[in-house]
Amino acid sequence: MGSQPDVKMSRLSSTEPEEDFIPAAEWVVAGVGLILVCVSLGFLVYKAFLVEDGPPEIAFKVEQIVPQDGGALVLATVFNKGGKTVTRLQILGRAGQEEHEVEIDFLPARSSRGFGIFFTEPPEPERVRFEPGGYQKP
Amino acid sequence: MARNRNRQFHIGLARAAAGSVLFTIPLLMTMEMWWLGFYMKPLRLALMLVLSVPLLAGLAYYSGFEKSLTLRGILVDALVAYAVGAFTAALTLSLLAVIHWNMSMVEVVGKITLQAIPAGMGAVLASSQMGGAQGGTEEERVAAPDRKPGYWGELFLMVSGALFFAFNMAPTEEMVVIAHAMSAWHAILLVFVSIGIMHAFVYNVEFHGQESHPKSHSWWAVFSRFTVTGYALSLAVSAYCLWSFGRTDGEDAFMVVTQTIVLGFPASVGAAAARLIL
Repeated sequence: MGSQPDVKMSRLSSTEPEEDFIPAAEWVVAGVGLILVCVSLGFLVYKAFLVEDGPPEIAFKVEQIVPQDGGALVLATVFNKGGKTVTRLQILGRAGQEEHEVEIDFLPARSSRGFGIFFTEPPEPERVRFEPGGYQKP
Repeated sequence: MARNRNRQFHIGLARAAAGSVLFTIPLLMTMEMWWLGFYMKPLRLALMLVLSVPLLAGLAYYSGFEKSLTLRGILVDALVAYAVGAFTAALTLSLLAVIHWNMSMVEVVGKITLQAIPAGMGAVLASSQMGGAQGGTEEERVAAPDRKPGYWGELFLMVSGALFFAFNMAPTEEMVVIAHAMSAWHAILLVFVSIGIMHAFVYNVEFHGQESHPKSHSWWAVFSRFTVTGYALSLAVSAYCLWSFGRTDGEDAFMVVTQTIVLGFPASVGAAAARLIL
């Protein structure tokens, strides 16, 4: 930082008064930046201290059953209503005698992801059952 | 004058946006970075965000993002860079379908905030590397202040360069894989190689912007004051990044040190490059 004062001196002596003028547009963008920093900070601190950080809580919803050649595709959504992210979540899908497994890479806290399971027999919507198997901590 | 300044600001904004994309494309397209956005400990991300403001301000000061010399002007520059970084990160991540409307707030805010920090650095660097003092119009060249960093300034630039490179590597699984594969001897050798590369980069291989050995100082003085200190700072930055990204949680001391040395390798190259480039 040794050369800083010299730079300042020479700058001041060689510049017009308008030099430090900051255009309105620059203030606006900087203001947006400041708001973004403050809001993100506030949000992160809120998340750290005020949001309950309970264990993952997994729930399912069947979205649609699409009949296909030689069976059906069951489209569903998995929700994590808890406060912890899970990785490699195993999901067991059952309909009648049939049972299939699917793995979800990442399911963040309070988020959802879609998935699908193929069955050889088109099942009744109310007979489709999902169960979480296990997961890994990220 | 005011109109001219306004026009310059708009060109600067466009350059900053271009730069933030250019510098952060690898990060924007890295899975681990998206995941960190939601599973990183919120307070560690908050700390990183707080530290990024003085970092961007310092970079803006030394690289001549804008021409201001006042504290107010530099702070405005830093916030402009952050805003541009957040904007380009949000836009690119939505374009790549990494974020979308039906994702939770936690996920979206985390992903954008984490990417906005390196994107903001890219925004500042773009202006120094792709315009302003070196390129740009005649008028800009005349207006650009000649800000030679002193000793502390050089150290600051090394920290920024190290951070930028560390940011690119620290989130990846490879840091852990490499550290697990390495023996203590590998780690020791890597320390010496990193220091050697760092010194050679700045003083020996005649890159554009190469520093000359000050005549008044001995080789040892320069080596210890700049290279060794720079390497120590690179290690500190690496350890900080690993801790922030949760890479040190649950690891034993040997693994933490080895990972830090592994990440210190790209970080020290980044630190040396920053001295040449900025």
